[in-house]
Amino acid sequence: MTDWLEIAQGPIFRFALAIFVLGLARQVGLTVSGALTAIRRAKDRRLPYREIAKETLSWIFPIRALRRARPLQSVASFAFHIGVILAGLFLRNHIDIFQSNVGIAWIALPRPLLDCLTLLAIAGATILLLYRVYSLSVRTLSTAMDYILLVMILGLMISGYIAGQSWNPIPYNTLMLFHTWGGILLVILIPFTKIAHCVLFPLTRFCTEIAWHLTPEGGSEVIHTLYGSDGRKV
Amino acid sequence: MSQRKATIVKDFLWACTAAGFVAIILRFAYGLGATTGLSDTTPWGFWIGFDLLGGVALAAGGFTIAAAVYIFHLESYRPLLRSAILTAFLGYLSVIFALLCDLGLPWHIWKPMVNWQPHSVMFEVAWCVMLYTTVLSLEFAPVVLEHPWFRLPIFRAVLTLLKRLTLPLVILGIALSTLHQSSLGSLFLIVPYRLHPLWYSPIQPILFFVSAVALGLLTVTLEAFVSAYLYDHELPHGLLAGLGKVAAIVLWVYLALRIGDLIFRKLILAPFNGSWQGVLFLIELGLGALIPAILLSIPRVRRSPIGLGTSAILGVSGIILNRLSVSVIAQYRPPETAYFPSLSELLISLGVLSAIGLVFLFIVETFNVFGAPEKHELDQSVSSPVSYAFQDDLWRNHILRRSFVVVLVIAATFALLPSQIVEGRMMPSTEVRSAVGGDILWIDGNRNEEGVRFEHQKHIERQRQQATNEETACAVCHHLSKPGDQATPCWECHRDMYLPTSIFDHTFHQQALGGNVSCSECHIGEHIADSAVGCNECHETMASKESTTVKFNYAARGYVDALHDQCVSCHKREATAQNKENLPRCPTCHRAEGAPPGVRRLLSLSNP
Repeated sequence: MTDWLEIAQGPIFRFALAIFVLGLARQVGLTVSGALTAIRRAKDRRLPYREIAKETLSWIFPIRALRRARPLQSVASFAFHIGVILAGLFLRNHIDIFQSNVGIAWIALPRPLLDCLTLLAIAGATILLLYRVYSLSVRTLSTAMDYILLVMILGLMISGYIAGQSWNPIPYNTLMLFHTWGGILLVILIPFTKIAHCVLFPLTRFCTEIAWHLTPEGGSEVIHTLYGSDGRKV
Repeated sequence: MSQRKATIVKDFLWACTAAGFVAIILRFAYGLGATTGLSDTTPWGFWIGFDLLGGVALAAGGFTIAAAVYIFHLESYRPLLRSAILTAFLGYLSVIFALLCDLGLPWHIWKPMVNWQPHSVMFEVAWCVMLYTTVLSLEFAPVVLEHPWFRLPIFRAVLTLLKRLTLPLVILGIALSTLHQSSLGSLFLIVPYRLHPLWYSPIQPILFFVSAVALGLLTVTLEAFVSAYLYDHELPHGLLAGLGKVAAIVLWVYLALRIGDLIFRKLILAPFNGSWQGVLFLIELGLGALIPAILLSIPRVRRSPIGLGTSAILGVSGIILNRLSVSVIAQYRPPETAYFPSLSELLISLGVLSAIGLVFLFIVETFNVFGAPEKHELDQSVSSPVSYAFQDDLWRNHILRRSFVVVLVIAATFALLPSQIVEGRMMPSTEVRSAVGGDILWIDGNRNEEGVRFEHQKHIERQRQQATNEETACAVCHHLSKPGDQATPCWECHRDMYLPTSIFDHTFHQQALGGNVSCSECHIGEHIADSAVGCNECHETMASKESTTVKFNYAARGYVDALHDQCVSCHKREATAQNKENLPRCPTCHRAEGAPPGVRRLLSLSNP
């Protein structure tokens, strides 16, 4: 069993990391090149770049989102993201694996803090999952992959949290085997699923905006059709 | 359909290029020692044999066809001219790239331009590569400049000038190519005692030149096959049969030279003495030259695509095998330092070849290489907006698929390459420290406290009981002593824990015995390491008759290997003789008790 762990933390980790880095770089390249092609073909090329930048920044620091229609969902999503990012990147054991393969290390956050954040993130992910299942509007928009990824991340967080506790009832190596291979699978999946938003989010707003400009005044015309003449301007 | 075949081939080439790309990055990040099988005893390996010598020989089609068309006015071969020159140009580019990977200090590659050393063959080689690559680029430039992209008057003027210069360029190309093909052979004139006599020949330059001509013709043939298959061209049967006929004549000349050389040097029976070199020689010359020569001499065979293709493949692989043999396989080297190309060497060769293949396909698809007149009509049909949009989508599909393949291959290469290469670890040299103690020796060469308590006194007593002559009892283990010494300790020769170390100063012995005329003092027959007499011939007490190492040996194995071999082989013998089955097992010597207390105090004093 330790052999399987070592393979996952050595060659397979390198494989996953290369897929992760290059796959995301590929996604960014494809998105940018696609956007540029779209701009070239668009009839209306006057894009509100300043507005796009503002919108994007407000998405990175979603303070405003807390005041919106679903505060609970926003808080849960916030806790989930913070926990996943901090525990994923700043846990001593994760940094060790990275260092033994790539030779680069960075500062680790204290274990108790990460434990708390992980618990909050688990709670957040559970709430998000419940929303997906029970809220009709979210359920309609959900695909199978949305559920799979959320359950996978939840499983990884729970197994990682339990493995570090003294009361852990499951044999450590068994749990780690699940946690490590699951993590590797997730890292490989990131560039090819919606999790790619971790690098693509600055471009989302930009690409949406371009889509509205493919025909002149296209955006306002759509709104006019949907909401009548008093729709807000995009 | 034709598009699809080319697309699949290009996808495959992209994948290979990606794998080679990873290997190239690792090679330049960590250096030759950590990523290749090359060493000080084998500084020239697969890259020199396959990429460099093979690549230059493959490029010989360029000057051969150019000579046929422009010098001998065989106008019918003109359709093959452009692709032959393109192959030669790309071949030389790949050679230069492989050379940059192979050089220890690649940023010094410009030095031969400034530091002239006219006595060196390598100097000639360097200048030939440089000048001939330039000439080839000028010879091929008109094909590129004819394209509508270069409509500006300045490009047109350059094009006219280059077309006027064609004949001088062709003549220069033939001269440089002849010089270069033969000078690569001359390089190996310097190693008469390192290269096996079946391959070492005083007419090596001529052999290299003649075989390169044959190889060049066969490469052009193969290339016509490949492009005919990929782009559904009609195969120019008549032309290729003509090439095959010339190739057959050249191959017969090559065979006659090769065999005549062996007869002249009285080695004609050497291939049949049963050694592996003999078998290699027979395979190389039989499968790689004789059979294609016979096949191509039969008119019916060389007119059929299968016959022509088979003989071209055989001939090309045979002559590349010859280059590999001369530069790598058939060279003597000490058995401790056997060479096999590492995975990264193979991947880089594959990657460079694939990248060049991609460039070839790009040029063939973009420019008018095969002289097909319908090319321009095709350009016009594309200019309608609908087909532009269609092309754009097709292009985007290609990018989507190929970038995915490239990402996957790069990641897989990182995962599958041995960790030694990926992490750039080379076996570091670890100096051996002497064993410490008296009756009980503490053997711990690298002082990591995982040594062995060796009962020296008990072993001496046992040997004295068994040995017939008390004087030679020590020599059972102390198999070789320094001149004037008795029972030299292990660590004085086996000076590195894991790597072999040199224990013989050849230059010193050569000078002491009278310089260049002194070879036969030690070497019997051929002047190679294997023919040297044992040290005892002069230093009478160095090696004992009792010891296993009477033969001359100039490299001492690593300490760990040497001691394990020495102790375990004897323990195994004694285990059967005395019926003590535990004697050869690890814990018999490697125990947990560590160094004796006195030794520990001593070591702590010497290593504070």
